[in-house]
Amino acid sequence: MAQVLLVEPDISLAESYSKALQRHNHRVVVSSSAQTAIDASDQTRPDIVILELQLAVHNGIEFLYEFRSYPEWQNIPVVILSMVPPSEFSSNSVLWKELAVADYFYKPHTTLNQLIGSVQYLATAPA
Amino acid sequence: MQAFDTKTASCADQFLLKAIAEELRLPLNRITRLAELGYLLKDENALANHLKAIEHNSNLAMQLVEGYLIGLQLAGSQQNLDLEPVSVGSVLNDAAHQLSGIAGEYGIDLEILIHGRQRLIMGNPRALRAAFLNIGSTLIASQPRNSGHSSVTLASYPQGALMIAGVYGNQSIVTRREWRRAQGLYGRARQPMKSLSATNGAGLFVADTIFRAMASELRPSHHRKQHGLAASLSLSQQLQLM
Repeated sequence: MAQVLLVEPDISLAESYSKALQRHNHRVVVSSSAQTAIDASDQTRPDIVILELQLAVHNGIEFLYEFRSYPEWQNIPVVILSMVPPSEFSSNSVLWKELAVADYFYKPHTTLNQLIGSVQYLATAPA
Repeated sequence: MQAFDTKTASCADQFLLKAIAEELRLPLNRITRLAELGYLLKDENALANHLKAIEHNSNLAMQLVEGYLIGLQLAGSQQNLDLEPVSVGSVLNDAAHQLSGIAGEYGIDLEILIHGRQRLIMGNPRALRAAFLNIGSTLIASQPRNSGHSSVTLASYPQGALMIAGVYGNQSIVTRREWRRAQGLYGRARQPMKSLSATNGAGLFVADTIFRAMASELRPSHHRKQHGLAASLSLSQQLQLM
């Protein structure tokens, strides 16, 4: 069981992802923006972050830079679940090198079971 | 439906197509995940809610496609709309009815405010409804959450020789300056408007295309402490004389 912070701007998708994760006994906190996600990280101490890159005002990359700047959050696995296709980032991208993204899922091609599988793996994998 | 020749589509039309395709992924993605969740949960009580949400999102996707088709026809073939005397209030009521399901899903109160003497305007009812649906669905998805009461209002009121009709919400999504900038970035940038996240705002540009075919344009506006986008629509002179 993991504490998951889901950063998802669409309320309907957030509800679907949350319910699916909760069914596997994960606790889920939803944030719809980068700023509220930083506040939620502070309050809930997530074990895993699931992040959409397309956010209003500050995007997901900006959130990740800030998130990783805090020493206590540098090793928390971050899973990208985005409408932005991963092909837009090269394998040498800062996403993998500097921001230590654990997994990248393209939303239209990702089933709930695939997301759950990734969270289950990261929740049990040694840090 | 008139044929749309893709070979003659300009670069701008291709931007429109790209933005529309991206925009449609949102309701389709919601539908797919809701259906998947239905299988996963196997909860008969929740299933009815999932089916209702799927219905609302399918309906929204179809309405968006309708607006996009009109927008593409207008942009691609320089085709003019057939204009006729139309009651804006009636079109707004119709659009609000179509939006009510998705507004309920987002926990947003949908209101209609029809002020003053409602005179007929020259417009195309199908295109007008599609334009208001596109603006409405974008504003509904963009309203703040977890901050108490949120509402979206479809309003119309007379102003001189014009009728103003628009859609407004608690959250300001775009200023005039940002709107001008967004029009330049539209189709080129993934997020032409920084205030929008789940949606890329394609619906707003489609609505603008439709209003331009009626000798108007979509502009950022405010009404009764709410912010949104509205168009000034010309009155039907012919019926005023009667």
